[in-house]
Parts: sequence; C-alpha cells; structure tokens
Amino acid sequence: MSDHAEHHGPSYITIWYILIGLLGLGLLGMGIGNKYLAIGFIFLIAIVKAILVGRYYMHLKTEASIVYVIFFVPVLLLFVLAFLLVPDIIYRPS
Amino acid sequence: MSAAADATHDHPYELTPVPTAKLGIWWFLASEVMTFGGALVCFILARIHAGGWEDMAHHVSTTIAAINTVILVTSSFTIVEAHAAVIANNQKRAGNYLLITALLGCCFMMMKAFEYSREFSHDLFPWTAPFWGFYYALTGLHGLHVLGGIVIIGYFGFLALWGTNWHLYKHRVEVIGLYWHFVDLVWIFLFPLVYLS
Repeated sequence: MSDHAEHHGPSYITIWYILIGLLGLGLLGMGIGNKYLAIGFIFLIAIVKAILVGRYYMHLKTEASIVYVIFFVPVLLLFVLAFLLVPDIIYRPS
Repeated sequence: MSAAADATHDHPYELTPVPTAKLGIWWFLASEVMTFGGALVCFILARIHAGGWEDMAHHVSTTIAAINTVILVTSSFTIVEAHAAVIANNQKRAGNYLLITALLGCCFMMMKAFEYSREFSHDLFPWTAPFWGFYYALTGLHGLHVLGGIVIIGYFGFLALWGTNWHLYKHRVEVIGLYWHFVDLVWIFLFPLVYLS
C-alpha cells in the first residue's frame, strides 16, 4: 500500500479480534473425534487466518499485480514440488 | 497516464508501480516461502511416512504455543498500527508502536526459551528422534527470524523516538512490517503442524 492509500474495510483491531477468535476455534477443533476431520478443520482455520493477515495487514487487497506474481509463483512451485515427492513417500517401504 | 507511467515519472529509477524497497522485500519473502515451505513440506511428508509421530507430538506444550500465537498476532497488529501512524505523520505514535512490537517479539522469544528448557528437562533433544529434530529446526529457524525482526524493529523504534532525520527512514516501516507479518504467517502454519495435529 502506498503512503497515500487509505485503509478500507474492517479496522485493524477488528481483524485482531477475528484472528484471536479463530485461534480459539482452532484449539476447540482439537476436540473433534475424527482425526482427519480435526486436522482438516485446524488447517482450514490456519488458511483463513493467513488470508486475513495477508489481505488486511500486508495490504495485499490493494497491492499491485506484480506483487502477487512475485509472491504466489513460489507458493505454486512449492505445491508442485511437494506433489512430486508424494509418490516417493507413498511407495517407499517403511 | 497509467499508474506505472505515473510512478516512473515521479521516481525515474522505479520501473514498476511498486517502490523498489517494497519490491525488494517481496522478492526476499518469495525466497523465504521456499525456505520455510521446503522445510514444512519435508516435515509433513516425513511425518506421513513415519505414521504420525503422535506419541512424541503430545509432549509439546500447546498452551505455551497458543500464548505465543496471541503474542505474535498482537505484534502484527501493533506494527500495522505503526505503519498507519507513519502515514498519519505521527512520529511518536509510530515509535511507540514499533517498540511495543519489539517488546512483544522479546516476549515470544522468552516463552520459546522457556518451552525449550522444558523440553530439555525431559531429555528431548534434536537428536532424540526425527520428530524432535524437525521440531527444533522449524521452531529454531522461525525464532531466528523473530530475533532478526526484533533488532530491526527496535532500531527503527529508537530512530522514531530519539533519532534525527526520521523523514529519511519512515518509509522503511512498511517494509519491515511486511517482513514481520510474514514471520507471523509462518507461525500461523507452524502452530497447527507442530502443536495441534
């Protein structure tokens, strides 16, 4: 965000309240009986928290498209590289 | 005239609508994505292959980690407020928020030191088992980033409150803020990976 840009949307303190609330929700998620459902829920909460921090605290909401290209290409590459390693883990004898 | 053309007209050395310093920190953060991402992916795959490591994972303190999450999220709030104060030309407020952020970073590190001493007292060292190797490597690497952030943020806090020529440095608050938010982002994923699952 440039120095001249104004902050739109929820206030920073509102985002903080939501983040703390989501932390509590994530901790409650540990109590879900099904292990895989619990892990899925906890990581869903983490993704929502990351989106909130990126969008409102890092101001990605108002950022130029070149920043998205710089930041998200490595993220995409990371998923590709991780996916390529999955068969090695699945088919490797324990 | 387009935004990019406007930017190059105002700042002839900048070829994009994003200031060079900010572009530089985004490149740095992109490289950090690969550093932390690679380590986290290794941890996830090794854990899946080993069958979960649940027996070892339940030794880590979720309470300490949750307190540290509150501290780090709060520090993200305070540094974004410091940036807002810079935009509002309120030097004193910016300095106060920067020093509060550095202080919260110190609290995080103290909690981390307490957590490590707790693990050591239970004979849980990096060489005890692969889980503990990953645990110390991931949280240690993150801790080093927090430590670096504390030094930089503290320095700029002192500059804002007691330094001269603040107008030359104030634009860097946004850049260090982006770094600090990234450190927070890494913790947002480390917390469930190491402490909750």
